[in-house]
Amino acid sequence: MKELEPEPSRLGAYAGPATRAAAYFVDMAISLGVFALVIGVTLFLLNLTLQTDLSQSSGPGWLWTTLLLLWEWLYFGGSWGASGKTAGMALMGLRVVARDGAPLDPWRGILRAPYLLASFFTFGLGFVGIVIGREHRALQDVLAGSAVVYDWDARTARLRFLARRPRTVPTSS
Amino acid sequence: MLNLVDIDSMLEHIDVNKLLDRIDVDTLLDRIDIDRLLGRVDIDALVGRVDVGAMVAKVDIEELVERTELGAIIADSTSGVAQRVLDSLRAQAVGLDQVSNAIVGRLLRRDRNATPAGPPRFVA
Repeated sequence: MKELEPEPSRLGAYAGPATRAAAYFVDMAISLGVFALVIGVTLFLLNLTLQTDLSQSSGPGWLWTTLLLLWEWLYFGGSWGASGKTAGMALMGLRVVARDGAPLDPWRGILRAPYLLASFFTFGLGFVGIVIGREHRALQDVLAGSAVVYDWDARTARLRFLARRPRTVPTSS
Repeated sequence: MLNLVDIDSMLEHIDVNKLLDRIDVDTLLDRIDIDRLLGRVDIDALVGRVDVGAMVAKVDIEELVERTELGAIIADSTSGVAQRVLDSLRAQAVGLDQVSNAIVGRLLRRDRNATPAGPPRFVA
């Protein structure tokens, strides 16, 4: 008899570095893309209505940096605070939860965004915990009391895959 | 008296198939009051003796999905190509996660059983 090895669900298991990195890159692409689009459209409308010649190199650097940081805080913090996941995390099937697995308090989600910056300011050392930690927690997780888990059911996905596979017609020998 | 009779040797002389051929099963069944019979059976106790977990464990769900209309139902209930790409993408990423975990676990000589799979609320 065939030995059955059902696909593990993975739902609620700690997420590893590859999935989290992929989600992060998707989020950065989305957030930076939206930021550039909004700034571009805003400058275009200002130039059109005020007959000016403003561009992204017009203003001081600190202004754009501040705007960008605020926007990233709004994007990441707002997403984590509202639903525990950003667009990239939703795509990769991830969710931020409290360390014990409970839903994350909104304020913790909002604070997790500036803590993410701290991971960068430590020359990336803040992310090492994702790779070597038993709970795969980064610095922002430790500071916000959170953890990142898989939010998708691999077993169901496997069944979906099998269901879509073309059926093999039994041949009579 | 019955002790004196060798039932086994007596049964050896009986052609059971011939005996069964003489029984009209339909007539026999017609004479059985099924309702009354079922009334005497303790269904709850009977069901209680069935190990449903073990029974379900024996079912090859993957084979079932592949070979029955259940698969088509599941496939129809999901949004085709987008879901397929998403499942594949996530599965690839999870695969890389597992490779990374395995390498780190080996380097740090970590006991796999001692490593928590997830937060207490999910794995407890």
